Order: sequence, then C-alpha cells, then structure tokens
Amino acid sequence: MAKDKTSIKGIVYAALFAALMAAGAFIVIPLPPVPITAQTFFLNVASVLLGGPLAALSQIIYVLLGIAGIPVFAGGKAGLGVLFGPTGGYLSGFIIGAFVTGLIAKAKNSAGIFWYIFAMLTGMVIIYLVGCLQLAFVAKMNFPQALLAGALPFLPGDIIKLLLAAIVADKLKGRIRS
Amino acid sequence: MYSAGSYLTGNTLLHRLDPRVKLLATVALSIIILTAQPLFLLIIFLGLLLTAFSAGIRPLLLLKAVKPLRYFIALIFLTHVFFNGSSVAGEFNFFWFSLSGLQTATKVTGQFICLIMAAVILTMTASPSQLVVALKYFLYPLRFLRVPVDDIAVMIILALRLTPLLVAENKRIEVASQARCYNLGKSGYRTRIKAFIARAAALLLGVLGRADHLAAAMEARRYQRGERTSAVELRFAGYDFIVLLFLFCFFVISMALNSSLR
Repeated sequence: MAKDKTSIKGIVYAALFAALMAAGAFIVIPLPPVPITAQTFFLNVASVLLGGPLAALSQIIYVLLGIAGIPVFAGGKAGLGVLFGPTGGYLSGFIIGAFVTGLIAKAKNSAGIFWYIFAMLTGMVIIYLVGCLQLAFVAKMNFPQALLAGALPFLPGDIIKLLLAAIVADKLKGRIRS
Repeated sequence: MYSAGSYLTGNTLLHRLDPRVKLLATVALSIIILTAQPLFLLIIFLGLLLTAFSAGIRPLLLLKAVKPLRYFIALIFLTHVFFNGSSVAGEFNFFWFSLSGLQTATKVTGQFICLIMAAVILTMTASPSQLVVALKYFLYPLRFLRVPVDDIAVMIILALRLTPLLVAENKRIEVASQARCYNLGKSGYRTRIKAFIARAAALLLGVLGRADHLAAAMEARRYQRGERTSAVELRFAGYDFIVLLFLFCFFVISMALNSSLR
C-alpha cells in the first residue's frame, strides 16, 4: 500500500485523487430527484485507498488547485474567496475528514466494507461539523439554522455516495500498491 | 465547462500585476467584503465591475461565471428571508417573512456575489502557472515546519494536467457505454446504482493505471524531490508596490469605516 509519504508513487496518487476531486465537480451521478456530484464519492474512495496522510495531502492539493483558480469547487467555483466564504468550511472539512477516515480505514488490517462505512461516516460527521460551523459564522446564522441549510439537504445524497464509495473502494483495495 | 472563470490572455495593467499582489488582493478583498456594510458593499461591487472592465472582461463573461451558482445564491437568500425573522435566539419561525430577514438576505447574497466576482477576476487575469508560483511563494514559510512545499507545487501541476484528462476519460467511458446500449432513462434505482459502480470502477482502474505509468516514467527520468525551478519568474516592480500600498490603505480605511459604522 502507498503508505510512504515520500515515495514518488504516493505523490502521483495524491495528485491523481486531487484531480479526481476536481473532475468530480463535473461528474454527476444520475440519481433522481437531484443529480449529485461525485466529489464526496471520490473523497471517500481516496481516503480509504490512500490512508490518512496521503488522503489529507490529496485534499490539500485539491483546495490549492481551487485557490489557484481552476473552477474545481462544487458548482464550478474557484478562488480564495470560496475558502473564506460560506461554503469554505466544507473544503477545510474535506482535509480533516479525509485524514480521519484514512486513519480509521487503515487502522484495521483486514478491513471489510462495514469498517469502511464506519470510517467514512466518521469523516462525514467531521466534514459537516466544520462546514456548518463556518457557514454559521460567515452567513451569520445560528448553528441549528446552519445545519438546516448546510447539512440536511445534502445528507441523503451523501449517504448514498458513501455506500457506493465503500463498495467501490472494497473492490479496488487490492489495486493500489507502492 | 472550463470556460467560465478561466484565464483570458491580455496585456492590461491588471494582467501585468504581480500574481502575488493579485492573490493578496483577493484575500484582503474577501475579508473586507465579509465585514462590509450594505452601502460599502455596493461601492465594492461597482469597483469590481470597473476593475473587470479595465482588464477587458465583459460583464457578460462575469455573469456567465456566476451563473452555475444561481441555485446556491437563491438558497442563501431564501434561508435568510425565512429563517432569520425572529430576533429571539433559538426560536424558529418557519416561513416567517420579515423586513430584517430580507435585509440580511440581500446583504449576505450581495457579499457572496462580490466574493465570486473577485475570485473570477483573479483567475481571469492570472494564468494557472503564475498562480502556482505565487502560491508556492506564500507557502514557502511552511518549509520550516517540514512541509514539502516543492512536492506540493509539483502535485498541483500534476493535478492541473490530469483534471481535464479525467473529465475527458469519464466522457469517453460514458459515450462507450452508450454505444453499447447504455440507457438509464427509464431504469430503476438498482440498475442505476449497479451502472454507477461499474462506471466508477472503470474510471478509477483506468486512472490508477495511468498513475502507475506516470510514477514509473518519473522514476525512470530520475525525478528528484526537492527544490525545482519554474518558467514563470516573479518580478516585483514599482507598479506592484504602488498597488500593494493602495491595497493596504484601502484595507485599513475600510476596516475603520466598518467598525465606526457599526
């Protein structure tokens, strides 16, 4: 597994998953009623396959890519303003969430699909927590309001994506070697 | 897809400005915008329009860049109109319409639009490679915390190259499966989910193979981690200094103005 942060393969994998996150803003999962982007799907796959540090690194690259001005944030946004804007918390949440998910997923040697789901759920809670805190702070809502606007509408889609990610990651887990 | 907000070549004053100054200006502006009062916000909005005009960005292009966000803007506006009417903390008045709610909604939506405009102007006047170099410059102090800044810069460039390829690859797989009678129009959830898993696995497998090749190629060419040079050279001219000074004054004045208005 690509655990070594210093290997060239690790660098390439992390860059690749950052690019996948970026492309994920434009890859839409056709599930009615609302088509959802594949970003958190790739986030979860990346954290489970890469493990904590590399997954966090891939998210950092993704965020930096957005800051550098490529419209890679959800909805084709870009720039530093987004990071400090109402939805910026989700981006910093991605980094922390990916790290925690990766750590948990790699903590068990023969991790199965249910362990992955558990790891991803923990990461998701962290992402929502950080995201809603910033939303509450920037958009001047109180925390319940922020949860209502910033977590509830996305929850069903994210759960579906999480389950899909667990299935796909379980299929691919033997594929990543360093 | 990549047209909105992407770099426009030009040779205006804004294009010639050092990317570091532009990046700083965007950060400063986002702080100013998020603390601005409504009237001041309007001035900033007009200023941004003027800046865009001076850089040769037509208003229509700006509008195009904001367009993908229209649902989110509407969402922000509506949550403020409907959920912000009550002044009692912790009390929810669902579908309670109030003037103060409308006021906050307009202000917050205005802030959001200004933020996007500032970011779009930045990315339209600075090329990605310039911005990477500028970012690397600001990340440089992190070196002392043993953060591999050069590796991060390389990874940004790799990801930059890979992103459009991945979008294309995904499209290719989609078209290929359509050619084999893939049609999700009327199928149920089960089929859709199965189809999605197959597609994602295909995409990821292809992409991981690509990454392996790339890593092998880099190793074969003796890629070394560590300091690297860039084709973009940063030059900090007198003109940049003037803009930076102006920016600093504007920042201080607007901060003072905001706190005195409050």
